[in-house]
Amino acid sequence: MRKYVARRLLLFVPTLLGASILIFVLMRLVPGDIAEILVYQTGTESSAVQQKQIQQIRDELGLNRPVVVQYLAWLGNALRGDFGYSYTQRRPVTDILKERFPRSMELAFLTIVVALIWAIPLGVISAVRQNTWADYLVRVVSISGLSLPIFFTGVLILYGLVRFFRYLPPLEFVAFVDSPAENLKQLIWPTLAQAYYISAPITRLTRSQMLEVIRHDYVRTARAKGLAERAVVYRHALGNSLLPVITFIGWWGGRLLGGIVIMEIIFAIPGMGTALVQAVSYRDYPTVQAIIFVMALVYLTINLFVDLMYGWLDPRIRYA
Amino acid sequence: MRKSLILSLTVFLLVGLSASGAAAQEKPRYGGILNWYDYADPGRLDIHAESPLSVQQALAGIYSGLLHYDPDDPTKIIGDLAESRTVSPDSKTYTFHLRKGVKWHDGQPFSAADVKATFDRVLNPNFQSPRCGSMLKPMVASVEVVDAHTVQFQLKFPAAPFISAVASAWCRVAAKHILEKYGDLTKPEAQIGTGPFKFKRYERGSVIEWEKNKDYFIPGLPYLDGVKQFILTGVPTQLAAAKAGRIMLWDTWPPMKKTQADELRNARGDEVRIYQASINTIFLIYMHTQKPPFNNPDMRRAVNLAIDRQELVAKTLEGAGLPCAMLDPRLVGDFALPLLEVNKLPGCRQPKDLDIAEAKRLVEKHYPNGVDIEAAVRSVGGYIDRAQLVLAQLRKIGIRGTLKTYESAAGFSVYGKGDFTFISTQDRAMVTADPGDVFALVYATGAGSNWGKWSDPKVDELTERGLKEPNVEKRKQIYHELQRYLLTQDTTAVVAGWVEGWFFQDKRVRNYQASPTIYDHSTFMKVWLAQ
Amino acid sequence: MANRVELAVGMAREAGIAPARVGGAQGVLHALGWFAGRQPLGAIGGLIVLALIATAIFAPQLAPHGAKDAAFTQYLPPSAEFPMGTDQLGRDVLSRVVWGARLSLYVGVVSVAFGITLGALWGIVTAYFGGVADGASQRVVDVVMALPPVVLALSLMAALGQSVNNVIFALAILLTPTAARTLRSVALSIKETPYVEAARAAGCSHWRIIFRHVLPNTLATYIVLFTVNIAYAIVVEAALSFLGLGAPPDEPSWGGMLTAGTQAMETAPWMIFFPGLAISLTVFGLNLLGDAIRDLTDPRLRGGLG
Repeated sequence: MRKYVARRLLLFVPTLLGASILIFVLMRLVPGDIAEILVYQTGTESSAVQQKQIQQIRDELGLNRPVVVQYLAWLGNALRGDFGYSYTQRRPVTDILKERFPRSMELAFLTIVVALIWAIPLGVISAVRQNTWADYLVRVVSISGLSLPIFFTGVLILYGLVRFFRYLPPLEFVAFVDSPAENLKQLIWPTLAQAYYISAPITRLTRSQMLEVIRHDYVRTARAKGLAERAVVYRHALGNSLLPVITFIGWWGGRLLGGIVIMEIIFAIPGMGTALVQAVSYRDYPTVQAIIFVMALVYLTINLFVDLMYGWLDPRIRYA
Repeated sequence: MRKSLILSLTVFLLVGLSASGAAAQEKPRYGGILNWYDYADPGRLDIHAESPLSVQQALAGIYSGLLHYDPDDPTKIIGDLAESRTVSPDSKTYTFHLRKGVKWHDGQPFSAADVKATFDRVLNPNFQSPRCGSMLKPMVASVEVVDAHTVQFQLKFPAAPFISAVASAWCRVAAKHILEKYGDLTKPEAQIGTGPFKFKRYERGSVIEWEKNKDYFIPGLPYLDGVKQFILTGVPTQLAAAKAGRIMLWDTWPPMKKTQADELRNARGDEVRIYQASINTIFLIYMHTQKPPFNNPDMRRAVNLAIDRQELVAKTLEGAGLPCAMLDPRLVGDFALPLLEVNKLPGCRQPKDLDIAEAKRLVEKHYPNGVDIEAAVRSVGGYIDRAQLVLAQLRKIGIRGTLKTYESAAGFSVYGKGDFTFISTQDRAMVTADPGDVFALVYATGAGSNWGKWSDPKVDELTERGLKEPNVEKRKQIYHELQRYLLTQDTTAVVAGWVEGWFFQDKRVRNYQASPTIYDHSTFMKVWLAQ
Repeated sequence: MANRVELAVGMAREAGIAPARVGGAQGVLHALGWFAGRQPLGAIGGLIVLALIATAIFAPQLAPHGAKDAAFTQYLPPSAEFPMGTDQLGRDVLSRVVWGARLSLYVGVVSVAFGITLGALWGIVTAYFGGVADGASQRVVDVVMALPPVVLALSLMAALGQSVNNVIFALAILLTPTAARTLRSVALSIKETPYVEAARAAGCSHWRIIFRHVLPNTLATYIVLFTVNIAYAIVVEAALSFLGLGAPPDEPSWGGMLTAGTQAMETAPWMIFFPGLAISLTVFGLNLLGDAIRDLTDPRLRGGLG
């Protein structure tokens, strides 16, 4: 077990580093940088002055150094917790992260909770009543959630609320600790839209895991003992099915984070998603770098945790 | 008998007077918060260093300038912090006499030293000021304090656009002690001005709030208790907010499209006033003059003849625009060529059969089988739709364009570096209402928005003369000549027209007037909310 | 040497869970009928997918106009002349939806084909050979998967510029790691089976084993991944359009039409309704089909086996 844990931990760091290098390179490949944007977008100064100004901005921001040097400098600072200064907001990126991270995490958390509450029971029903109309109905409903792009669902919800109920969710973000009611009034809608979308794979996975487990001997034994069907299903089968589902969520977390970007834009939530889109548009490298770093960190941490849990539960590994 | 006549006449007069009194101005009501929205998060709040409209929206009511556009009649420029001004006979020295008793929002007194500190900063060659600085630096030699309430600007030459530039919302006056304390004006804490509103709160990505300045130097103003702007970046969200009554006006970029205006009308009907207005923005189609095929003047001429400006305005601007004109008479008055003359010129005249035939001939002369080009466009606002229509029009004369869309920033990078052959559409918003802006920005050699790298000495000469001509009538003649020349020459940028859009105001909003530029009308100094 | 698939199919036939062997065209129909009976939802999905493919192939015949012809009046509601109305530039929505089928299918199939195939081969080969190659490639997969997909696609599109081929490339890169990981675990489980051990003992070369034993047994997973990810690719392209970085907007991409339609939801709801319907039906059908195939081929899920 110890060797397993050590290996997993050892792999964590290079993967995170690799992800940071990948996004660093990608951003440099995107044409245009902040200097060009600032200067050309207004297009008021004469072209001679423009060239001078672009060089000046690049020097100030250290963009004229070789790319490798820039990366190493960033890495050195990042390891000390200093993510640099945002080009577009001229304040420490760590401040931006501190502000935005909890908001996006709240949205992600709510989405997962709602999705689980909705999807797992559906998956159970679908498995227990396999190939009956209940099963078909569940599969149709959950697949239809996957069938519409989430931005579309989001826009439809917003439109529907205004058109038919003359209601608009709050446009100003209020933190949960300040006012849970206002906070949830704003977050409930993107949560529902996204939860509906991601519930399909959860339902499907729950169903297949349940189906596998139900056939096992110990379940048949429990049935033979005369336990109520419900006890059999929920206590024995479900418990053992949940683990892969949780793995799946960790794995799918990546897709979730992407969808959050879109939901934040539509529902005016100032989270990491909107900060990221703005940062990419303006080539605000430090902000992009830091946000992606955090997202990758979260994703890898969840996966690490799940891996370790699997390792602990699998006797072959635990007692190695 | 006479007594009763006099009595009835008096009664008649009194009734008449009171009736006209009632029909005259309603009395402004105090109180209320005006809600509207900013289309982007401003990020950095330095009014001298930044350039996007979102920053101006965030700060307009906080500061005052030496001059500004009259909130009651925005076609006039009147004094703001400067009570009066005088000009020397050679038009090179401007003296501004400042108001007395004005206080900064933190209580410090305002004086001429603040004006000098502000403009020294803007004029500093090492300070990047793409709005105020780029306008004033070529014109102003120095700014001097005469006494605590008098300031003098020394110009390098008699510059005609000087007053328009100083009146611009970008040239607002900041406090010397604030500049010394913070070094720049980027942070929310540094937003100390002399304007009608104080900067109350900036929740990044979410909301910007102003509150009433009780010590504003014009007694009795402002009427509003405050102004609140939500930061809404998605168009569906902006429209939903309008329809739900959560925002009270839409006067920002981009304007509403006609379909959105219709939806809003359906949703709120009598509660809103929807109107069409100019945004002092010119819609241009660029060609790179140093690369084939458009280094050939015949090809440029062909494009000029073939573009159907009226169709572009009708279809892509949904009728909200003025086709063909290089200067809009509604914005600059007599400086613009009369529309009657403009509409008869080749390229603009309808029906277009002759022009299209001639254009085809010109293309065939050099490219008998037609020519394939790559047409750049930034994927912003309605640009894509415009680009597609422009290309459809060019296909008629044998120029086959493939659209190459660029993400906004990447697009500007490409334009600035000249890595394009054809730009399907790119707007340029005017910063001041001065007629010379278009030429100085787009057509002069080396101009900031002269993406096509065109150089014509005659244009440069006329632009230079227009900049320095103090006599208004002579200046008009110069600009008329310039317009005629550019509209018939084979220039780098074809003018499709001036852009307008749809806007709305909640009917409760009173006395909100749009200024001639998109940057100057968000101070809300004299706006009030009816019940 | 009989391969495992053949043996399994034979056993399945005897157990009555695969169609009996019938030759020729009759055999195909028989198999299809069996499939429909077994997986009615999948059959519905299959029909939808067939309709999609047919529309894509016969687009030039089915579409009354070109996808980019802006010759008509804008915002016309559905009528006899324009059954799906016209859009903001006066283009016929029906024609664009039909041509869009071809574009969506092209983008979906090609990007998935590249991405899944590449990922599958990569995952299978490295799983089989194991060792350092496997470890290193897994790290690479992890690194790419650590980035949120939309963000990755966004950056790629911003870097490459907007064009249909670049969308395909970006989507393919998005899909490769998932396929690599999934197929790797399938390949790992196959590697441990007696057949493979026996083959190695008998002296078969590695590549022979891969081709004759490992690959065929991963086929089912591959097919499921393929169908399901075409749907995903279409949806991601739509999301990219919303963010302004999808296929160029004059192309009749359903996602692009959806985005344009959000600007006129009340005055021209047909602009959103028909492309939205097209996307939903397509994704729906593909997912049903993929689901059904997975149900059929995953041995754990067959009802009736105790």
